[in-house]
Amino acid sequence: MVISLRCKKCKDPLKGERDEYAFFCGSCKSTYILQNDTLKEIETYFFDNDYNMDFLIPLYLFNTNIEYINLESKKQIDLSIKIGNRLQIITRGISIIDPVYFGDIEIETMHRLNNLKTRIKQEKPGDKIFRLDINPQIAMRLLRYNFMKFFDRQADITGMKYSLTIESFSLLFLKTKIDKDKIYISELTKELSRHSILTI
Amino acid sequence: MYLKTRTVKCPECGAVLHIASTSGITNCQYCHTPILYRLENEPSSFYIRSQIGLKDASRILLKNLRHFLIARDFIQKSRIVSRTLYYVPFLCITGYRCGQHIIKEQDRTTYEVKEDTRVLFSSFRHFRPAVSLTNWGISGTNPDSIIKNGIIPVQLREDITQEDAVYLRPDITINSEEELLRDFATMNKDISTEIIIENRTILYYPIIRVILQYRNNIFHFSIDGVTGEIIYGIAPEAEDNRFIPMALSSIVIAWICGGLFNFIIKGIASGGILGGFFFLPVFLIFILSILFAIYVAWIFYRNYGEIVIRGDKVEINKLNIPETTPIEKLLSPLFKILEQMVLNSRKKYY
Repeated sequence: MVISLRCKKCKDPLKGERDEYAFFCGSCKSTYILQNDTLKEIETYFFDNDYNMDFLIPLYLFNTNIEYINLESKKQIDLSIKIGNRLQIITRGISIIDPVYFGDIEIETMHRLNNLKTRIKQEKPGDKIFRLDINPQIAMRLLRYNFMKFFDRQADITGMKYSLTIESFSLLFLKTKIDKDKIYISELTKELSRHSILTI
Repeated sequence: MYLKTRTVKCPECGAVLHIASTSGITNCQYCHTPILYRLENEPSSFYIRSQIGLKDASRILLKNLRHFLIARDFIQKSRIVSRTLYYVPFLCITGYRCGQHIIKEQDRTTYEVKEDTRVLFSSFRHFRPAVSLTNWGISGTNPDSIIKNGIIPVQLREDITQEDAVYLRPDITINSEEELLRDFATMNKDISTEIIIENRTILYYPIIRVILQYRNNIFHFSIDGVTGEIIYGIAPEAEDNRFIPMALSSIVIAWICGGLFNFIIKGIASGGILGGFFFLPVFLIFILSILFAIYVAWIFYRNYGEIVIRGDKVEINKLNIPETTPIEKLLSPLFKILEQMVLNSRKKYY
């Protein structure tokens, strides 16, 4: 694969590393994602609250459509009504050394997003202070597990069959601050140890 | 750094560009377009900078080679042939073990599998050497614990690599994904498990190799570039390791010889016929005792060895050990006691 790293809008060089999947235009702030050996512009979102930040943690934000095939119990029916047919599912975009703990952060972000506890706004990152090193294809494989994890916390889903389709995907950024050995995720008031992200 | 020369065409102007690796970003010399190329699925590279200078290696060796098992004049009479900082590649794989959701029954022997459910069972971060090196001790190196202790790896770029260090090339024939599937996917045969590899990276870990020359022999040492521990090394054994057991055996032989000669002569001189009657069996016992003492001394002599150092452990690696004979098996507890006695007595001097 050999591709040109120039912004499709302003023709400026894009920023990024050889092993990343997101490239960023320093001039017009457009973000591109590398998928199937081509660069596509992708929408980027932030949570509505603003904090000073040191760097951004990128998450894949999938807009999915769910069809329930077999609802056996009243609990399952209630759950399907509660969740509806559209769900925003989160998977990580950066390699985390402690993946299980970060899995909880993903699920909590999904809860906040889908229960409208926090609004997100479309916004371009001000500078390239993030790193997306997880292939979109891997993110799509993880999506099914995060979906089930999100589901399973709310009700017993034994025997429930569903069909899940991805309508679109974008990037959602979590703002973070680094203080000594800790990374504070401002939106969720969660913390990670600094060495949990290999690349900062 | 190792180099691979390949050519790619600039997607903007079609110019032929020469590249030195299988993946990277380069600028076209003609139209100055930045170009991303990934000719092979090459993992990204990081390194942990060495915390120890090459000169510190000598100090570490001096400190650790002062041991009662190692030849006493090894430090004084050995000469440093070379000191080299190597960056040894480790493959780091992070991912998840996923599968169907199971409910464990109370008797803990049966499982109920939830239909159409998928959950993340656990995550893993797995380090393994990406190169095979004999007698380097890299299998005992654990970059994971180093990272957990707060040492943060830095992304490796060709423009910031240390010029005086040697970066070993990862062995690409290692198929770690298949091995991981084999290792992790067999939690329960009744449950289908899926391994999702999240990311692969190459972590270059610093190891200082020191070569010493001692009495025309070459000895290699590997020093962990972060912790400063000797992770592997071979040193000559102290000669008195064999001398003391042999000296003890000689004393025993002399004592038996003297005692039995005295007994025989006294028997012959005092009893005449009685002495002659006892002479043959006593003489046989005398010969057997001498042979036994010589045998013990010979065992100690032939079990010469070298000293292997791995971290804090210093142990004798016996060389040229022949197959254990039944007599040796029978006497092995006695040998162990003797060895321990010798070691304990000599530890007092250190």
